[in-house]
Amino acid sequence: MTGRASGRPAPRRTTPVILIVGMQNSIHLARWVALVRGDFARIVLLPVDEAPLAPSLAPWSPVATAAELDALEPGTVGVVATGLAGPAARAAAWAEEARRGYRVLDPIQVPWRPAFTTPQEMVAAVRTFRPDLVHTLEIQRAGYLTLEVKRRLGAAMPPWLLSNWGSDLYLYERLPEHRAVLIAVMRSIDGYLAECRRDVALARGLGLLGHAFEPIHATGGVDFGRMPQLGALAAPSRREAILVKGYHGWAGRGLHILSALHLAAPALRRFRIRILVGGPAVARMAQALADQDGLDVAVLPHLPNDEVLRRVAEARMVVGLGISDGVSAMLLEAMSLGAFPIQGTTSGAGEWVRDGVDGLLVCPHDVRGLADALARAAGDDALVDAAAPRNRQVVEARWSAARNGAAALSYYRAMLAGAPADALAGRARA
Amino acid sequence: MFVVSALYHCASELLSFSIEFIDAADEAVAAAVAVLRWDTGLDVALVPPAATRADPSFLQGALLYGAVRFSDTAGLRLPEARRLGVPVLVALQFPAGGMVDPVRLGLLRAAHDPAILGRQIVRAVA
Repeated sequence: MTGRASGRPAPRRTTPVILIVGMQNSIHLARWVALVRGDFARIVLLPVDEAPLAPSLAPWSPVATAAELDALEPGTVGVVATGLAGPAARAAAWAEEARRGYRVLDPIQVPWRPAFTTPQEMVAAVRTFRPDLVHTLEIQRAGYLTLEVKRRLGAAMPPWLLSNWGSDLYLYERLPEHRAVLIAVMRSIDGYLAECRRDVALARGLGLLGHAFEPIHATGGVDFGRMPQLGALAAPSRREAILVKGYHGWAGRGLHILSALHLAAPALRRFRIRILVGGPAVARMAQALADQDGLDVAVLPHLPNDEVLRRVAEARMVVGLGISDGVSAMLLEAMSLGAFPIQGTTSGAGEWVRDGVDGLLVCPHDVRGLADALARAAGDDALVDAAAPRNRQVVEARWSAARNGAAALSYYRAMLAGAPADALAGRARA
Repeated sequence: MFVVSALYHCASELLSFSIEFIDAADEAVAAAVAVLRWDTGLDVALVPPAATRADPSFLQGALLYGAVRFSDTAGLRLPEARRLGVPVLVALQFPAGGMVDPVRLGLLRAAHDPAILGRQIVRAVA
């Protein structure tokens, strides 16, 4: 474990402080915080930029001092107010970072801008709030930032737990410039929490020295008491909708899915095909499928999550494909609501469904294979009906918020217990 | 992205070739090409648009100029390819009126099936 500089003896904290660093506008981060907030620890969130906070992070309050953090009600998240307000202040802060030689390695299609949190802002947050644990959610924004902070703090860096999302390792480790940084990250963290075993193996291959916890899905889990029972829904074989994840970009291959729909069109004409998250190229191709293939296909506008779930519950199958993914929430939602999942072999889906039994897994470059999978799922009533109760059983066991919340807290306790006792005692409140 | 997928299907047959993606500035394409290179060992790279924009003979010496498009060939370097005698393989997924000819019809399946497109690429350069 990382050691910390000793200071004047100070009262031992009764409640640990956990600094979570991540994309504050992400529903994944908000769900994780919901899992762990409460009496166990004071949660302080350091945003990675100035984007608005996800609404479900409430209740939260800005904090600039440890006293303000201590004054919060249990369960209220403190959000670090760094004090850098306005373009001029941010420009000056980044000019100082450039003078130090710090260079941001951008994630794909996320170019740097002055609103990004600087390493020095995070250093200040660590010195102000003296967290007992730093937990970064996601690697390319939060993880890279924290790596630089650890370099600057040295022995004063608290234990560092890292969680990654979907493509953070699987895709980025194959990009040479990022691979070098990922190796440095893996060698610097004290604990690692993946959402699939595939990523644990990748992390070890990149030189992970810290402890790897048993994976938990990035969202934590859901309350199955609030999910409809399968018996209240139509059997999958009686459903007439197909739901497609239409995202086409650095990871998603929505246009490949549409080509597969084209190839399988004769088998799909009785279905209502609806596409979630489709840009202009996807909309144009969907129109061509409607005009030339006679398919009932349309791109849906952005929908709130409860409406998406309603659509999933009406779908015979849910289709997602890309060159990289973790375990998508849509896969788990499909498994929960009886929709037969068709996913890429490049995701973690194979750790949740058995190919050909509980779902169908396809290489993202095999459009013909995807067309065959679509036709099979469209025509095999026994396949889709048998998969539904099994898939529901799996997610109830592994995607339960109650179960995973308890696991998450046990991981935090393990990380906190791993720190040298004298280092904790040496912390002084600001 | 479709051509990238096609190359996965025929990578073992193209290991002795140098493959360049041109006229694509999208970071998503750059990432796809980098991952293709990593996964297959192909000598493949994305050429920055600035390197090709001002060069009217960039295709000189190429064995093949290929693309997959939605419905038409607007913006493709077909006049340059013709002038330089570079063979062309352009598949249209939903050919617009006036774009339908026997060659395009023969490539309709390839326009939606990367495995077929991959075989067409190998056939064209063999």
